[in-house]
Amino acid sequence: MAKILTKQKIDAFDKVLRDSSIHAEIIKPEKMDRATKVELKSHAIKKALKLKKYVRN
Amino acid sequence: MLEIEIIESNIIEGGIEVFVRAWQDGKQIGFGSNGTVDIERFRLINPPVLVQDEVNGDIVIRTEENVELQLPATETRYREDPEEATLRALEETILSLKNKHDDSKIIAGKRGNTTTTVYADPSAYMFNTDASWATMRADGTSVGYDTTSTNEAVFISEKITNYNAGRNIFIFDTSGIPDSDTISSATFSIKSTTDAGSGAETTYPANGALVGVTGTPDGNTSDYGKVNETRYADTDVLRSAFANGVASYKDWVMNATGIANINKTGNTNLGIRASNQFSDSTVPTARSFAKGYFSAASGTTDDPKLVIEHEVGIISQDITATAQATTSLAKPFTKLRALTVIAQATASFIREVQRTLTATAQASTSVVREMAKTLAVTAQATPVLNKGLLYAQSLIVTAQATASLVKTQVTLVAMTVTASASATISQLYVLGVTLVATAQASTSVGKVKSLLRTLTATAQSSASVVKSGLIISRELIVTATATVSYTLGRTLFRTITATGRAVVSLLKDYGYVDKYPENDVSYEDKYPE
Repeated sequence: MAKILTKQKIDAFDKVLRDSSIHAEIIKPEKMDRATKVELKSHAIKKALKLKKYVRN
Repeated sequence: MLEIEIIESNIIEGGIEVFVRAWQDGKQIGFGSNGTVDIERFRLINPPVLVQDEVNGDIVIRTEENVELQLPATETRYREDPEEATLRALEETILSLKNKHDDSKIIAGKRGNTTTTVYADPSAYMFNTDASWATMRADGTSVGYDTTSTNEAVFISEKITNYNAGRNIFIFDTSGIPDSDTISSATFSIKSTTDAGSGAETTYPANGALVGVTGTPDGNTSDYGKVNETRYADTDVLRSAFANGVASYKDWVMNATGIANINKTGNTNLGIRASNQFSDSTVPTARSFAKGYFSAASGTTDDPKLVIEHEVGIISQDITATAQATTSLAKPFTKLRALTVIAQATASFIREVQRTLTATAQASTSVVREMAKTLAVTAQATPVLNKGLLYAQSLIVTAQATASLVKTQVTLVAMTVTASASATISQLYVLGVTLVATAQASTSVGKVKSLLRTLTATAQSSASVVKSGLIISRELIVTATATVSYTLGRTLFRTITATGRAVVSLLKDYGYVDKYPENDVSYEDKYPE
């Protein structure tokens, strides 16, 4: 079942993607928990993936 | 060449789901166990976002040197690219699927159930060393435990100064697989590294064996003793496959024991040990190892993965619903031999495979996407078959029963409708040997591509065939006040017989009739230009 992220979470994730990187955020001393880490990655993928046909070699 | 069309993506618990159409070398891939799935749902659990890029990668993951095992330090460069990482994950998953077919059976728009790809989090590398082979192998704890390296020994079993062994544990969150789903295949994969080594061992070389893990991993050196000797794959991955200098995923196709141990409510723990580290193995005399990529900090397209193909499934051979019972099975994939619904019972089945469907005594039966050999409906029963791929040999509707078949591909040998019964078949591909409508029965067949040998309508019955494509009927027999109507058919009749006050109407028929009856028969536009 699709999971809807809160606006607060989406805004926070977008800030990470705009100002930093997923990897930089994950390796910070105050590490985010596993669930949040996965949500951030999934949010980034959903934003990046386009609804189109990709040709792979 | 692989083409991947992204139809939809959603964030789900534990990762992301992506709905995909795919083409390989210009031909669309039919997904699912029977190749009918047009759009497959791929779920990526703990999805990767990093792709290896030794030229421009700005994220460096290092593995320390292991002096004891004579493994050098390594570093691997990655760049963050969620789009490319996902496409690579989809590409590798699609190419390794077991349920993959040509485009001949694809049903447009049909969505598949799920292929779930889970990336290990974490993967742990453990090595052990001792002057005694037996002691080293039987130890409950290892000397080292590492979850941060990315380029490590997938398996190692050797004699240098001491005897050394490497074992690994890979933890996959498989809780997202619905409990009721049936797993049709599972493949565990590790990507080899380009500097993967082989050793000097030729007498007793080690290969990689996929095995189980006893209990729950503790996340420390005691996990070494939990990597057991129960094989989860019948075929080991050869050391030589790792030593070819090409980084690519090496697959362990899991056996029934392995599949049965996939945990649908939590983590699935898998182990790797060298094939010469079993109780009955021969003591090695030299080096034998192979290297591969382990889980990195934030997930890469090189991570160990577990690809699971699963379907909604109930396996049952006989189901009987009686006495006002209600039975509902949604999307089961079964080999159901008999379905019997009697006495005001209601049964609803979707996507069934069955030999016999019987509805009696005011029973209501609804079957969607069925494969039934026999459908028998009696005594005010109402069965509905919708969008079925039927291989039905007999359709029998009696005693005020109503049967409706919609959009079915049926090999129907005999259809008999009697005693005020009504049968409606539309958009069928029928190979009907006999269609009989008797005693006030009403039979309607629409848009049929049929090879019908005999159509008989008797005793105030009404039979209607509309827009038939390819009908080759040897005999059309209409008797006693029966009415038979053919419209827009391409019919090749040998004999038409109309008796009593029967009415035969052929409209725009491209037929070839050997013998016409002499009574009430009307023809129109029978021989067009």
